[in-house]
Amino acid sequence: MSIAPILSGRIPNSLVASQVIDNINTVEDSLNNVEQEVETGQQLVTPGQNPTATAIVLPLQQQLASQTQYQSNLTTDQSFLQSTDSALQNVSSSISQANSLLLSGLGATSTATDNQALAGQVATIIQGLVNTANSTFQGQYLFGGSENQTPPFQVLASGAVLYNGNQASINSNIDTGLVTPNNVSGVAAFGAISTPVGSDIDPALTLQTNLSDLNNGSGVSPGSIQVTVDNGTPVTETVDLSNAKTVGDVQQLIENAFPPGTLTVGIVSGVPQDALKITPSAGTVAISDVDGGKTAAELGIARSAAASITGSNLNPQLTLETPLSALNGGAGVDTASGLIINDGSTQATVSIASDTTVQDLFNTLTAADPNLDVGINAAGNGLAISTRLSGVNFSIGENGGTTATDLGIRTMTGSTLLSSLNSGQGVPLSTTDSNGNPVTPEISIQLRGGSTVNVNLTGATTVQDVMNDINAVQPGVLTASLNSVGNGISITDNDGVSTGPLTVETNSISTALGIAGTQSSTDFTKPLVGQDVNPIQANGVFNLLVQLQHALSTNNNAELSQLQSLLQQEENRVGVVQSDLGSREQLLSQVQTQMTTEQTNVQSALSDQLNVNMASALTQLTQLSTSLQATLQVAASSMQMSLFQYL
Amino acid sequence: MGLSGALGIASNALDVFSTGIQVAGQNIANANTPGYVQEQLQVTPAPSYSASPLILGSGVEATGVTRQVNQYLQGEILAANSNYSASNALNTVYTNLQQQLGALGNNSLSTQMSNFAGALNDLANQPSSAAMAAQAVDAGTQLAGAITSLSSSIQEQQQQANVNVQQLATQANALITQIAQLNPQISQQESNGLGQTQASSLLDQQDQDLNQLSQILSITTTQNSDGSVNVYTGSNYLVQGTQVQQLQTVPGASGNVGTLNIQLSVTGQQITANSAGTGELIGTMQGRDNVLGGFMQNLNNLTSNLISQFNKIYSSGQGADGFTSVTSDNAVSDPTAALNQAGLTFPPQNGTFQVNVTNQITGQTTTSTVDVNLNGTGSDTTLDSLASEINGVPNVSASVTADGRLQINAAANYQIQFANDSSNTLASLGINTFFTGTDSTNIGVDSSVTNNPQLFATAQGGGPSDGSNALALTQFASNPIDALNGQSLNDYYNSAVTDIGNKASAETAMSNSLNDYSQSLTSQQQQFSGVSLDQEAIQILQYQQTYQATAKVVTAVDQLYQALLNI
Repeated sequence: MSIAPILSGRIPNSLVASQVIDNINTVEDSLNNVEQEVETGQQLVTPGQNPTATAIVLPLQQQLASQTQYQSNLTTDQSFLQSTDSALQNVSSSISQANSLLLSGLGATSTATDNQALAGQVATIIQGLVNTANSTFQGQYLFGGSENQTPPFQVLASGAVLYNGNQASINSNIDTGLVTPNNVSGVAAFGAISTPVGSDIDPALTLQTNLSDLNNGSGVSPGSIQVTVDNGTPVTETVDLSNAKTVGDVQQLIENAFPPGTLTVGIVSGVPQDALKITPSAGTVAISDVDGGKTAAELGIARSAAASITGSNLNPQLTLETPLSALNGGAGVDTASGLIINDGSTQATVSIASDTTVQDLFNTLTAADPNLDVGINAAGNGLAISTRLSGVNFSIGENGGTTATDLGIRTMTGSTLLSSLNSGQGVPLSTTDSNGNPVTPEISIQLRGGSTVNVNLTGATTVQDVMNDINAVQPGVLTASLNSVGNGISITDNDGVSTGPLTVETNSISTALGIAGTQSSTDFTKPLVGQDVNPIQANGVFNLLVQLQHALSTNNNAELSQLQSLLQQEENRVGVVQSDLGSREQLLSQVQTQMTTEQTNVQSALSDQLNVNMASALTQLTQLSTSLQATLQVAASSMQMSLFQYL
Repeated sequence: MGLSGALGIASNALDVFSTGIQVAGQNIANANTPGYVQEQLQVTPAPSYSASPLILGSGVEATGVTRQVNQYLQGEILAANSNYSASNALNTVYTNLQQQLGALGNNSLSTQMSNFAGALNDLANQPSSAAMAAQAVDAGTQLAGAITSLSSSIQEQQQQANVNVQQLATQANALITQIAQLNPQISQQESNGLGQTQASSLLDQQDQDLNQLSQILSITTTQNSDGSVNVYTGSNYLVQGTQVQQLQTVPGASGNVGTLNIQLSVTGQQITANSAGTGELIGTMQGRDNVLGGFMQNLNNLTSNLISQFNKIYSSGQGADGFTSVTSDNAVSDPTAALNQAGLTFPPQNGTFQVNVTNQITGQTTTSTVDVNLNGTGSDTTLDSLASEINGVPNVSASVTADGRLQINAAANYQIQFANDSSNTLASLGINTFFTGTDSTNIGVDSSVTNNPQLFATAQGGGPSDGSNALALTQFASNPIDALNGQSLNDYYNSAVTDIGNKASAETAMSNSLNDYSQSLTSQQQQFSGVSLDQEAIQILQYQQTYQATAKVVTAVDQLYQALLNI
């Protein structure tokens, strides 16, 4: 190996011998290395051979491993989506079938008996569609959301269709940082639940509220704040809030930064209780952020010196553990009266008297009606209650108090749009008739005293508008309000004297409002109780098919015509779902193609570094063999030379 | 004078010449003896005497047989031996380490991590599949096994290094003793005062011993006037005349594996991996402590971050099954101490976690939030207070076991699951966790999960077929980690391996060049001290001829004597 400098002078035999051995070893060593390379095909075996190449190879190997996994994910996802796609084809065809049955039912020659038979055929279509909706692939139900171990759809004895799944996505990694769902839930595909009912109920701040639930869920950045209390001499403390997780933690940390009693941190007292309040025992308090942080600002308490700081609204999210007493800005809810749920054949009067948190409420509701879907709405500030039954009417009404309204889940309130009443048929308040002649939309009320008043409902858009119009006629005497029990509009005529019957004359408007009828009791405090004209229904194909079956078996032509346009809309909706699915499938195959190309690139980059260039290795092998031969020959001849041979 | 003088000269010369041939014969006989230094017969003309008016010489006399050795080179060679041996020892360690890592092959730690991530991906795609859950648990178990086996084979290597240290010390002691024993023998033979040349074979032997010793330990030598040699290592003596120090092994302080260092028997000076100096002994210790020990640190760092980061995500998830009873994997040192000061390897922080209790008959779930107060304000949560807080959750009972663990039980027909742990308490205590252990020597998989893969925490609140937690877990090797300065586990592994590669490559180059240097010094020394058969052949011819010539002189003198006597 070494080329040692030879001093001029003697060359002892031992030196010659050791150099010869050295040379032979060197050549044989190189030869051995090249042979190894050729045999294994790998030129880089240990990191020490080429650290620079190693630094390149290691991440490439990891990348290749994840790409291989992504490919596998893509293949799995594609097969799930393809099965889903073929299942959805059945939906469109079932809708077309149902449509033709509907047209036959509407036909002039069709009798009640014929329609009964048609109803039977619709029942068969429903059963077939339920089977499709219960398709499986690889042991998983396709349309159950994340509840995919039991069949998601079932036809009940009453003819309604119940959805037992949920709306969750099963997400899958298909590329670095790219996650897509590989399923379509029953809700997305079949419209299996009703539009959730639940309005903003302004949950208040409590000491247990998590900081991560503040500011509509964006939370509070961890950091420190600076608090200055000035009672003659300003005292400034920096409070580290990065480990604070709840509002209670913030309270403790700020209060404890000062001598006990100096500062009181709490929640503002009046409704809405959605901000912090910080009061010094004496002097002023000022709070600011430090080092460009945002903690104080996000807690709503960054203020200059004041006798007390009232923070800004922190918009806490509704969570399962929010106490019912914190709803409506801290005003709480009416827990005594309870509410009434109508869900298909279930009618339940539900008491929430023993419920303390939102979760308790959910448990109570689902115990009373197991076919409910309960949750928190997307905005995070209210509930979201739906029915999972298709083909039934669903409503939540009062039980003599304000429980349902307080919870934001009463299905017919003052703000309900008239256009959505009667399953979207609305109320006929047009100001022109079919011939284009002007008409006044009005209802006629025969008062207890015997006189008749007309109430002009022009321009009314909401239930409250209607009630306001009625209340304007004889304020204090003729009053319209929402039913105290259930849902509907109640009308009271109380002049303290008259005891005659109170009648609302039947016309298209009063029927649509559900107030046509007579209250004949002589007790003038008794109202004319209206009907619930805002039943909620599930939005999808099953609901329409069950309705169609019902309309055919009762020979209800009006309902049939209504269903015709709805069925058309549903067909369009399913078409949208299918094309959305199609574009997801396209995305997957795009990603797959791209991934294959990238994989090839990575593999060739790896090969460049790891694998041996066979051609050059074999050339080297030949060279080294020749070199070895030469070395051995030289060794032989040089070892033989000695003076003793010639003496 | 005269003829008798000539005869005298001739007889002296014959002696000297035959000695010369003997010396040449000695050199030839030892031409292949390793370490043999060629000898030369020193001759000078014998002193002249006066036979007036003439000054006549009295022939030739042999003054001594000297060794042809270059002392300066000898010292350099000793140093070069030590340097090379140290570097070679390190090189061997690097080679073995790299072989065990197999970092560029198909069984590396990186491959195992990718396999685990792959199994997690499969589970995330089909969260309700029991087969996928079982596979994920298997892959995790394999990863843990790969880590512990790598860790124990590195520890074995360290143990082997200790054995080597022991053996080298024994060898060195034997050599030191031998060198010291030779000293008085050499001074006896060197009484002629020709300085380190007479006692050839003894000196050769001593040089051999010194050479071997220099490979073990870096030494310097000084010569005394009486021909004996003193041997020092650094500023400590090993041989001083007949005084010696021996090398003793003493236990060192560092690392998981017991380390052996060297202590000199008289002065008590310690020789460790951090000592100045070279030689195979120090090289072995450096390999054991710096290279293997350093890598073990990296491996432990990687593993403990793997455990804590994975468990952090995992412990806030739910499996298809819940727990009817769960006991924490980790124990606290004191149940009355604040949880972040109770001896837990990955301490919890201020925060909360949720306990979900499901009634198996009705299917209803109740969620309760458990507070972990570790703000330093008010009373900090201890294990005892945590147990009583959890005990307050309906249908759940909790207690602290005798050995400091937390045990949580569900009432009959209820199951418990956990969620949303912002305090890291669950991961810290080892409740609803996947990996157990603290570092590469003891990482394992929780036995309740291996016995029932349906407990694998795939979901984040979405029911038994929600795969969101599994999806979050798939990124465990590529998420940036604060404790690793923002590097991910993959990045950290890559840089540790590349670092080994860099150092190994540098050490190989260093080792090669030191070897070259050492070899070149040796060959220079050979040029001085090696036996050249050709030269010896010439010497023999010369002596032979002059012997023959001298014999002729004797013959001539003899003939002249005869002529004289016949007068």
